[in-house]
Amino acid sequence: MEFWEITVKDLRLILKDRGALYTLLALPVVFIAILGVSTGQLITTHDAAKLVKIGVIDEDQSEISEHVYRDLGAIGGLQVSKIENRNEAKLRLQDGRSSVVVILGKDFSSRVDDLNLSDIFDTEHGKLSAGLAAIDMQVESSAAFVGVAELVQYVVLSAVLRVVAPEVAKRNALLSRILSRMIEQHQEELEARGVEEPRPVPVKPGASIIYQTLVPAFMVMFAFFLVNIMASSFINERKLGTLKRLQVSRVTPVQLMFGKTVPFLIVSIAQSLLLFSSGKLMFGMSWGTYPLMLLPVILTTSLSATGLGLLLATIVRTESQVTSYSTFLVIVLAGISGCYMPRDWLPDLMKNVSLGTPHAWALIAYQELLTHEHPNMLIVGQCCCILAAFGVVCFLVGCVRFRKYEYSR
Amino acid sequence: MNGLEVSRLKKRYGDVTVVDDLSFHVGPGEIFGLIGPNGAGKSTTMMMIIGLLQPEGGTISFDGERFNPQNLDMRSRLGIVPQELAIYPELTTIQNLRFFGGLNGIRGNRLKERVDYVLDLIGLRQNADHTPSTFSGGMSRRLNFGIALIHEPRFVVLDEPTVGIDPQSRSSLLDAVRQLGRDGVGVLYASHYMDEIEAVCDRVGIMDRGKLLQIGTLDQLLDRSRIDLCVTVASLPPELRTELESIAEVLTEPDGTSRILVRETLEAQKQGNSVHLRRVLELLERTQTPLLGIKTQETSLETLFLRLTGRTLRD
Repeated sequence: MEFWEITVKDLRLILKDRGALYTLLALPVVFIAILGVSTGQLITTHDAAKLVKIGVIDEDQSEISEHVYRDLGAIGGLQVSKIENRNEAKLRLQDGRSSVVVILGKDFSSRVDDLNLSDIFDTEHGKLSAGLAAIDMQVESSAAFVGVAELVQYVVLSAVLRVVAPEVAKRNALLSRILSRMIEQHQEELEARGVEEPRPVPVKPGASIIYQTLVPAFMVMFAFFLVNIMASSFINERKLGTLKRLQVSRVTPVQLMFGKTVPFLIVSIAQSLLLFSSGKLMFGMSWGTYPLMLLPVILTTSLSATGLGLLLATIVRTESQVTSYSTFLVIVLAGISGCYMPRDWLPDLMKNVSLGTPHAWALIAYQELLTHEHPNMLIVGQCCCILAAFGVVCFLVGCVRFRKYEYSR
Repeated sequence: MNGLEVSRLKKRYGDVTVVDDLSFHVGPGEIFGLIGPNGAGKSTTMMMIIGLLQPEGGTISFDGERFNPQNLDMRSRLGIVPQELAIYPELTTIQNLRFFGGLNGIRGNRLKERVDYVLDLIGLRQNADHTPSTFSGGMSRRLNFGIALIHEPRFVVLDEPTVGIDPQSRSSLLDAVRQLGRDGVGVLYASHYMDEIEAVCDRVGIMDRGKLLQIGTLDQLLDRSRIDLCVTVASLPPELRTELESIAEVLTEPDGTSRILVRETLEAQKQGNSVHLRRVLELLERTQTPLLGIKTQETSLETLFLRLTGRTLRD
């Protein structure tokens, strides 16, 4: 159990080294928190910040345009507010107070009056085939929302149709009578059942799916920050001369390596648990259908990170080598593997290349557990096995190197 | 044979032989000093003795048993005091001692007893709960020394254990080394401080270029090379200088004067057979060379060391 003495000693040293502790535990939380704040997801915690902000300019000032405005506000996921004029709209789009601006032009109500039933039912060939412009409406978006502007146009068009269609229908005498009769019958049924007319309830957007990907991605990246601290720990032992004392004590090379790995494994697991807890508390991220299955992924990811750290420690000889090698391992491997963006965004070639990194396997396992209601446990198990194997192989190669270069040259 | 036995040890780095056919023995309770200029091969020898370097030839034995670095029991008989401060500055004195004690398999009451013993020996009891980052150089050196003794080794290797410390700490450390000898612990003591070697070592080996040049007790080494007389003269004509150099060492001082060092063995001096001295005096009288001074010079390990290893600077 001599290795345990080294483990306890290193844990003591890590706890006393506030800089290292900050890098390992606090920095990732701070990093994700900053990311959360910058995307407006942290301070308000939930709904308001997650809504798409829509500004509406009502130049028509008619009853029907007011109806459209109210109807847009009832759609879940949208935060609708009125804007005085087009100049103010431009400013709001520039400074981000509005993501999208909907303009109901002066001729909106008169264009609606011109619509026939055929225009409503045949949007492909009728007047509405020209889109919102046909009823003097425009949709403008800020640079960040260009990609979703078309989607918003459809949402707005559907809201307009909900309001306009009954109005157009009422202009046909026969349809008007049928509609009135249907509405009366519906009211009578509801009264007979004693049920209040259901009011439209805005759909609350759930926790953003991006955090299901973002938190584990940064967690994996920061787990590999350990390689730097581990290698530095070895350099420090060499520099102090204590490594020599460890080598001539009753500790075998493997015990020595093991003793120096375990404390970092413990720290790595603590780091992952802290990040998952922070993710849940701050971003409302879900731990998936099987939260306990996260534990083997956390364990094997930590194992692979500490194994790599140990191997690096047996390769480097100076602090500057530690910095350059670990920067490569942390930054570049994180980039290749898809820690900076969802893996699905990677081209196929990169996806295949990334499988050479432990990061990628950890991300695949987390993605499976966190973003699938019924995760494929075979995939998770395979990822865990690969991560564990990576860690063990790195550990063994590290031991061989350590024995070869530090003992009895 | 009990103690450390080094026999025909060899080590090469590429084409350079750093330890060449080195043999010596250090008995239980004996303090053996190993001195030599930089690059003499002392550190390499010590690294081979503690098992961190593989010899290319020769053997190392402890108590008659060939040293095997893989043998943990054998390893725990060894204690080392490296030249650098091999301690953890962030851990307290007692945490440092307990850690290295535990690492060598000492636990429970025995560990407590050993920690108490070492704290008293190195005079750090009052600082047991302080971290070395608050220590003076001398206190850190004493802790560095104490750690090597925590597991009660039978043989201790000390590499320059007193570098950069105050006279009080140095004296305390040298006392502790003598105590080790009295307790039956064999000590290999490497240092550049000749006065320390003279003060604590029973026997001394002088090493250079991987070879042991001289080995013996201090008396044996010094008697063999005693410098008896130092004659100072104003200047020497070249022909006289050549003649004198055949029987004595002639040194020219920066002020132009010359010193003639006449060596005689202790035995010759006792018997009044100082042949060289008589001859030097005759030559000076014949050439009417004025004498500026004449004195007997005490023989020291340093003069012997310089004579054996030369005055050329080493890197």
